[in-house]
Amino acid sequence: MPFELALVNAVNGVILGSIYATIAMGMSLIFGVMGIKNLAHGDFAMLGMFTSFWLWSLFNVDPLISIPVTFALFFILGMAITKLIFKHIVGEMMGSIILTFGLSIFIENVAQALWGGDYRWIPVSYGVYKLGPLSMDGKYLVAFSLTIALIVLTQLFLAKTKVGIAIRAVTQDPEAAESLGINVDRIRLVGGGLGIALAGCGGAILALIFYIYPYVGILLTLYALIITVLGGLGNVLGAFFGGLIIGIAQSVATIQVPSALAPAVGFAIFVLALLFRPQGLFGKR
Amino acid sequence: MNKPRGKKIDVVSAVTVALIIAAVLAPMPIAGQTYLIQVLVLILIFATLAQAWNLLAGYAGQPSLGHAALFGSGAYTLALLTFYVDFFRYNPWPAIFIGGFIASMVGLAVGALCFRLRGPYFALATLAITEVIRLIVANTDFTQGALGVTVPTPPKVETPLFTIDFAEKLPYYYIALAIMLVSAYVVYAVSKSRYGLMLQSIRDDEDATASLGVNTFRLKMMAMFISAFMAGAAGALYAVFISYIDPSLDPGGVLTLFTSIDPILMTIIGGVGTIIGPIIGAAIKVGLGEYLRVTFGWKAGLDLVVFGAIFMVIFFVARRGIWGVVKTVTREGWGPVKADLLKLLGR
Repeated sequence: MPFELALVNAVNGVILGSIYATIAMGMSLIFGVMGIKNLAHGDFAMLGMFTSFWLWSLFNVDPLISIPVTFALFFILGMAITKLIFKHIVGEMMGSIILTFGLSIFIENVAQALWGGDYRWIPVSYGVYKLGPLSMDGKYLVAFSLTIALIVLTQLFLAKTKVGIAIRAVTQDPEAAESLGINVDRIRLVGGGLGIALAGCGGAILALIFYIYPYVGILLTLYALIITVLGGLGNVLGAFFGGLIIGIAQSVATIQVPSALAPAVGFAIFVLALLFRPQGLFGKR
Repeated sequence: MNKPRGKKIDVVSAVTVALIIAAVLAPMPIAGQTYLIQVLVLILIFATLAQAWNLLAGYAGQPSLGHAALFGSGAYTLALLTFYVDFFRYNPWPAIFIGGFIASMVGLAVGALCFRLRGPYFALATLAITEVIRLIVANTDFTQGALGVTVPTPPKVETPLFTIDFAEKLPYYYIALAIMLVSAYVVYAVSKSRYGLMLQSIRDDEDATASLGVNTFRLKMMAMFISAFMAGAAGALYAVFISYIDPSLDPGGVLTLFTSIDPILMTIIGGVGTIIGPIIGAAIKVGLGEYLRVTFGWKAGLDLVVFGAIFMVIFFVARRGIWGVVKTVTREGWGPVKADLLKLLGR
């Protein structure tokens, strides 16, 4: 049934796309507060996947429980990285691309050297559910609910809390924010921490439904980059919709084109979108 | 006023000639050491690629993240010509030029799409197009898909006077050296010409340049044409030298993001917007990479851990690039360099 197939694909696309969107939201946040294009972003997501994997395989911790732990760990890691590295390249386009690419080489090969290049996965099961004509693996549903919860919480944090509002202020205009008494350095620290934490968490959720291997980072970085730009650089909510578009487009494309070629559809959409709306689909000029 | 300047240029050209002679003679004492020559050839090939990126990004200010597409189209042109056409199997050398030309065409197509974008958007659009090209190549039967293409070793050239055996590494050294020198000279000539000055003014302020009546789009396309030709020729030589290319996303694939970023690393390490910078950078990147691979070869990935760390340190210590630091020191003394370091440590 082609229609049902399309439906299943679309649902999978929404789920995968929303996970990519979580990772991309972190990248967007970091770009927003520091003007840094973080090419190591996908590698932090990879580390999140491995955190989930090791907590499960060494201590038998259910990935559901390990995700908050991952968030806390990566928040601290993100603040450390911001203090050590990011703050030296604030606002530098080429500089940030180069330095974070060095960081990316470093991180992915630490993972390669420590754990080897095998493909791993987490064989947990949350049952199978029937939704009308569709039967869904519980894993996907769990991953999707977690992602939505994470995205909603992040949005609430950015919209309602004092720190969140300060983060948005710094994104819009760091100098004006500073003149209004916002401690820009501290906000950047929190923004960097949160950005990396979103990457790590996105990875930890992705680990439920995706293979885990050291070089997966570059793929996730590529997706996050195009999603971030599609949503408008620095626009966190835009990144969410960008993620959905890319996820759905790639999943539905598998019906017509070989599945290995499907990502090309996402990249082609990205190029077209850039040409016609260079400020991003949801960005303002 | 004119005299000391003339003298300085003489010193520079004398040093350049001396270096070229040294480069021509260099393989003589180490001709037997295949591995060393192999590393030198790779340095020269990547210096050409870095020089290509340097022209487009360092001089014209267009930070391409898509040079893998150009390098890769050169490599694939040569590989597929030798794969499908008998003539090129016995004589792949004209295919280096065809590779350069095809890469130029790809470059012009990329430029036509992307040059209306600025800065980070340009960079990301070129990156996305490269990934589209890579995925198409990896999934097309004509290009042998994910299998990659094997390039046969070119047959011996026998003349009454001498024999060139392409199973050895030495002939590639001279071909790579020639291509590298020509590309460095082209970038030098362009940078000194009227067009080069216009390109540099596009880099510094595109709107202001356009307001002076310069057709910035056409100039950027011209820079792209030259840059892509160089990158494509380097890629074609790489294909016949390495004798196997594939479209994987991992390091080593000719169309991967890693291949796009390598020339950027080299140019930035060496010094952006200088002629000698990309060559120094290529020597350091390839040389250091190979040295670490040998030293830490007992554990997969460890060499790249060390490389990543060293790279980040170099980036912090020499923000202007190595040649940039040398230039600054000879012109203004150690002051600015010290100030950079103090700023880094003090904060």
